[in-house]
Amino acid sequence: MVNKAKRGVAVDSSGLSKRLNEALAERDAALAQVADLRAQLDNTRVSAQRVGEQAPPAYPVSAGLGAPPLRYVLVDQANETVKSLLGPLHRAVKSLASGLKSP
Amino acid sequence: MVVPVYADVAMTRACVESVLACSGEALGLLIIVDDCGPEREAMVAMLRALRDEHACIRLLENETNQGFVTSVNRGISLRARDVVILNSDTRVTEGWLGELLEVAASNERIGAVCPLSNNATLCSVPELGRGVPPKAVDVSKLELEGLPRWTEVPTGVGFCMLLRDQMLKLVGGFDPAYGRGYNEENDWCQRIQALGFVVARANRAFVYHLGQVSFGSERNALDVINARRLHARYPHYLEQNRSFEAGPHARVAAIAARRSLGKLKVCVDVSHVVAPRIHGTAAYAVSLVEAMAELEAVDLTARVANEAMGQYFLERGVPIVDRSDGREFDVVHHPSQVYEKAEAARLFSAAGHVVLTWQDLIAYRSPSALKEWQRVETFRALTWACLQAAQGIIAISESAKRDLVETFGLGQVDVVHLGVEAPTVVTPTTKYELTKPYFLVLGSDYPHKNLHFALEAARFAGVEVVFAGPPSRVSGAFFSASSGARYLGELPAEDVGFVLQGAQGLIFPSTYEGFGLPMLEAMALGVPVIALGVSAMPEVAGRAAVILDQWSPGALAHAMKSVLVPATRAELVARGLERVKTFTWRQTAERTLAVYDRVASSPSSASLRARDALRILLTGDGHEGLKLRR
Repeated sequence: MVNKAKRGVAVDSSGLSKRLNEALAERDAALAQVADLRAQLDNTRVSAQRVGEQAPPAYPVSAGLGAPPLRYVLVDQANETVKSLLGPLHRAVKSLASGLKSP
Repeated sequence: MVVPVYADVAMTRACVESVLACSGEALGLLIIVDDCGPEREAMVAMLRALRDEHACIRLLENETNQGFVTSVNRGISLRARDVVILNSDTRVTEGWLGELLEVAASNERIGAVCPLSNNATLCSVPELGRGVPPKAVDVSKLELEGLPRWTEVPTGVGFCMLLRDQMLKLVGGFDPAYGRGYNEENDWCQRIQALGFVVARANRAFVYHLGQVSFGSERNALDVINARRLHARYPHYLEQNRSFEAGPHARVAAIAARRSLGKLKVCVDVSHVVAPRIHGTAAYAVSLVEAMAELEAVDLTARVANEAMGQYFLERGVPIVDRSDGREFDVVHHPSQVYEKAEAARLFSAAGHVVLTWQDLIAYRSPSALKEWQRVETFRALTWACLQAAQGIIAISESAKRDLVETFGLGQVDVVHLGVEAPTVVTPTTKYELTKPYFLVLGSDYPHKNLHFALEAARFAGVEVVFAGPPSRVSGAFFSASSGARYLGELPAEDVGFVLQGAQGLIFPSTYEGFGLPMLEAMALGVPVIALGVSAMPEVAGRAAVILDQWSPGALAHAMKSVLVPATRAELVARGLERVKTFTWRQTAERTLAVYDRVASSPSSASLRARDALRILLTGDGHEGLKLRR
């Protein structure tokens, strides 16, 4: 009797589990639809309280977060180039000037 | 409960499992909203498996990535009662949900509740406003039972927040204007506060927060845009938060957590002491710091008035700060009365709890004690205010405690007796020309010291009496008047022992003392003591002194004669030496530390409220002419 019952459960369990899981998925899909509608209604209600509100100031928020603007990149590159090409000349002028200043 | 899910499968699974393991029967429905993160397939498979295994789970799968606000709003729309929003980068701990629900139900004005966490701005412990790694907080060691069950906070923290069903019905869910996330919970909290409801921090519930995993580099931009929207809507928002953080309520949980997890950071404010041991109050303050520095269980700093005192403590291994140092401590102890408004403002603006030692009420009671009536009045008002606003009050005798409690109706006052140092080497000196036998009266000449009484009795008895101590300079003071008394002046610390030890007895005619330290100092040197049977004198001297019940010069004269009888004298000396063994500075330090400990673990809510009011009124940190917006 006991063995038969166990066997019976074993035979049905995979099918039952599959059906159960499908049912759970269907239930949650239906719930998701309900949630969507309710959330949309609620959003409409909350948004309605803010009708006429001015948007927050729109000055850039991306500054410093991503790549710098192209003009900054170009100026930096030009600066680096001048320093690397004319570096020895610049140092020579500086040392000459400091030599002239000293007593 | 609603858990919006985006990224990190393993972390999300651990979060849900902790909810299932630690929430008990309070859980109800667990609604998980999957928001199409980068590991969609693995996440959904894991969540579906959890859903299939646990009947309480409902899984909502967004078809596209909707962001935090929409996901939460979808989830909470399915609620049947109060709902908790929980980020997936959290681990809840035992009993968390029951506590949040009980706090929510404890007061009809509570609209939202957040737990403590290792990383949740205003709810962070052990560092307020600053996250620490989860491993830095062993929740099993936290002792939070003594704290107020909840603290009103200016806003909730979205990582874990209980929203009351009735509030959601009144104001709706999170505002979709906040897009994908950030500041939507602050906006929601402002909306319920506008209706007169409060946001509570549950001080006995804890949820670990593992940090930011949802937004990555997008975080700053979202934060900035939404912060602008929030500030445009609620211009007071930043001030409201700043004011809370500056007040005493903000840190109660952080301090209690630090106490549970390690040593208390204590500052003994001895900035009223300009030189060690110039009077009883200074002796107490300095000896307390020295004895406390010997204790392992405290991280001690002394706040000093001048360079000399700083040097004095540094030589004894005690770290120092000056008055202007803004460092934060868990407890700030001022071992003296507060006489000036500026002093009170400085003390009660400190971040930590405030402990005061209020030695006695003589300056409160005696109109001549403070020279000018205006100062007396200010002092009386300050006394009342400071005693209401301190988290801990120490009285130095049962007698002083009775006076404080009966005068101000105070609840908790702790008695911590002073100590007495073992006699050091007494250096003889001839500069005082003490050639004849004498009785000594030691102390200042404020009216309540009752020095005339001693002089009159000495004349009556035909014995020599000499006086020594700092002049009070109050009107008609004994030392400045032509009393005919022999006055040695204010003795240098190194001469006190010699002058005291050479006396036939110490006469202590004071009518009011918080403690009466000179009595013990005399006993320690084997000198008999005669005192009036009033105030703290009988309590401190015990049976080791002649205590006068009859306050007549004749009775005092008789007592002076009696201590000259060898047998009586020997008996008093022996009892005195026994008596002083029960008063040690170490004991004073240990009992004081116990007060700090109690204050840190269970500060009274009433004192915190009074303190916040005093801070705002004294520091001008209020807003003059506050008007209701119309």
